[in-house]
Amino acid sequence: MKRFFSHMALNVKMSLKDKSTLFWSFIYPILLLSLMAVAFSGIQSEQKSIAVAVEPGHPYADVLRQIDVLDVKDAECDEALKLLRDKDVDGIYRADGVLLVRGKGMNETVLSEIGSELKKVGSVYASGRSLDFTRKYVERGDQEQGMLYVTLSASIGMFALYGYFSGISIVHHVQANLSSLAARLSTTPISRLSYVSAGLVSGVAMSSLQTIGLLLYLKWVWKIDYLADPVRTLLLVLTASFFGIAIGLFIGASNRWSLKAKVPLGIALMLLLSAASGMMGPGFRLYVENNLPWLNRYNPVNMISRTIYRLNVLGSTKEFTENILIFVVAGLILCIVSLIFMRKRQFKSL
Amino acid sequence: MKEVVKRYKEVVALNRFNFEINEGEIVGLLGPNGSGKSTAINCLLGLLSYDEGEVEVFGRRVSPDDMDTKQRIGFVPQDLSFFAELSVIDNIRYFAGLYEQNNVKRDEMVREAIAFVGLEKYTKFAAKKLSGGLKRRLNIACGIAHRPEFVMFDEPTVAVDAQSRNFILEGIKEMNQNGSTVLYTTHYLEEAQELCDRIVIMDEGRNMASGTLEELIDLVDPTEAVHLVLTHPSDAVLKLISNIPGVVDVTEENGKAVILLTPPGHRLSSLLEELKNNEIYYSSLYSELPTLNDVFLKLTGKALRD
Repeated sequence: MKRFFSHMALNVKMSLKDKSTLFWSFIYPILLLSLMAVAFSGIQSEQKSIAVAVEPGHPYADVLRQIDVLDVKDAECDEALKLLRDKDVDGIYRADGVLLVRGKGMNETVLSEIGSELKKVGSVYASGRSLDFTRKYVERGDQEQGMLYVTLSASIGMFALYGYFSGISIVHHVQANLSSLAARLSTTPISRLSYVSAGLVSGVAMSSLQTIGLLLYLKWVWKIDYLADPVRTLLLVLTASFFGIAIGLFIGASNRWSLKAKVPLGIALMLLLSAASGMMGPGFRLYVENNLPWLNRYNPVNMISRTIYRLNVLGSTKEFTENILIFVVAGLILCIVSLIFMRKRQFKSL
Repeated sequence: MKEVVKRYKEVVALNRFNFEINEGEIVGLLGPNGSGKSTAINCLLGLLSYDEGEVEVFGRRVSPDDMDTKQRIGFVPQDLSFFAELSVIDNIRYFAGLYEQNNVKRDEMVREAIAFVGLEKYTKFAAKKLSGGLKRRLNIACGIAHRPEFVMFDEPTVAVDAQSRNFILEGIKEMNQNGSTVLYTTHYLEEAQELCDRIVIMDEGRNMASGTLEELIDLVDPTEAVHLVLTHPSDAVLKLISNIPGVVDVTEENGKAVILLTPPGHRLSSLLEELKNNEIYYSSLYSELPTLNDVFLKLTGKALRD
């Protein structure tokens, strides 16, 4: 146990004394999020509701008028078509229930989502139950959050997985064929389990601290509250950090690539997953969600960003437990497999 | 190590390599780069698997799980292997702590190790900020702080300035005097000559010869080369020299004669006496005793630094 704490202290000291780690873990995320906040907060404040024409006789015309995100214009068929041609509206909900849109932009996707949602719940609505269509729509599609929230959430999701880098670093300290330091440590009576566990605990602590620091910064400086549900958010951040480190352990231990290959691989992977989650703007995310919906369902960056947004902006716990369980179980499996790769053995070459 | 064979695909790194070291010795593994020295050490440390043969340390078969053996050995690798971000004292403390859990004892070990490598002035420095020579010293301190019974140094003086090199060699001698058995790999024959009780000459993964310096030199029919600048060189003078007892060969070029004497180290004074008696005059003279390089050359057909 004493050695466990000694390994932990070593890991924390190394993180705190490494200026590049400090920069990429603490300063860079703040800089990036600040940049995003500056860039997108203007867009957010100017974002208009989606103009849509609704023909008389549309079965859910009244419901559509209640949805805040829509600017409903009642129009007859010809007038509605003229509005669409003149780009005064983005779509027409026709009397027969069909949605007519001009193209495949974000607004058109939102209109389509709303149309589908109305059809799905139509029978329930007909039964007289009270439904909040706006909430239902937002919970399902998350489109309403706008570019600021999409990019911020995706970035937070990415930063929450930064433990990846701690994970590969831990492996490169204990697996003799990966570094001369690891070879040296392997000649000492060190316990790998103790070293890896200590690295895991300190890594989760550091990574979580970084993400929570980021959320506090957004809350205090930019008045964007991603800590409205602090307990669940903390739990999400802890499990996501654990999962990030577990991926790092797995990538670190499962092959003999150098750190120079594993670090860029992690960066590339995270950027790709973050882009799919909307960090580079909603376009790619929409494309992924329309064409590869399974990818974003299990994209860890998107799982984090979606859950953190729902918890703190929508007050919804949808998918929270499921995502936490996925992170914990997948993380444990990755850790166990990594430990098998890292078991003490004699190597064919160093 | 008995009849150890280690192959890297087609390359045979250790070729029926035999080697042993007794308690209290300093043994040098001497060979050029790529001769198998580091491979032998890595097999001894249980880091590398091998294809044939036996490797035992303290009479026990080497195993990566053998914590008792690991507790008793120390290793100073060729590559600098410590935590660059941490200070000198934090590094040594961490490594010593892997062996000793009692903080008081550990801190005493750390103090000793720091004094041993002469890093007292640099304890708070980040390891990465030390000069090359000081980093080497730290590399050594991390490997010996726990006072190992058996310590292996893998070319610890590569790229080290003369001052640090002397410091390191003196330190190793002192460790040995304090009871540690030392295995020292190098391709610097001067180091092996200066430091080691016994030397194992390695080439292409084989143990070419082993013994004390004198034993090794005796192996190769050695001679002492005496270089003379003759005042009046002539064939008659060379003939006179060649008849002097102990002279096995004489060559001359531009007034500079090279006389080979045997046995080495014993004939120089009688040679000078004979030169005087025969009125052979010279303006300068120096003598070269045989070195390990001569031994290596004879055993392998190539110079150690080829």
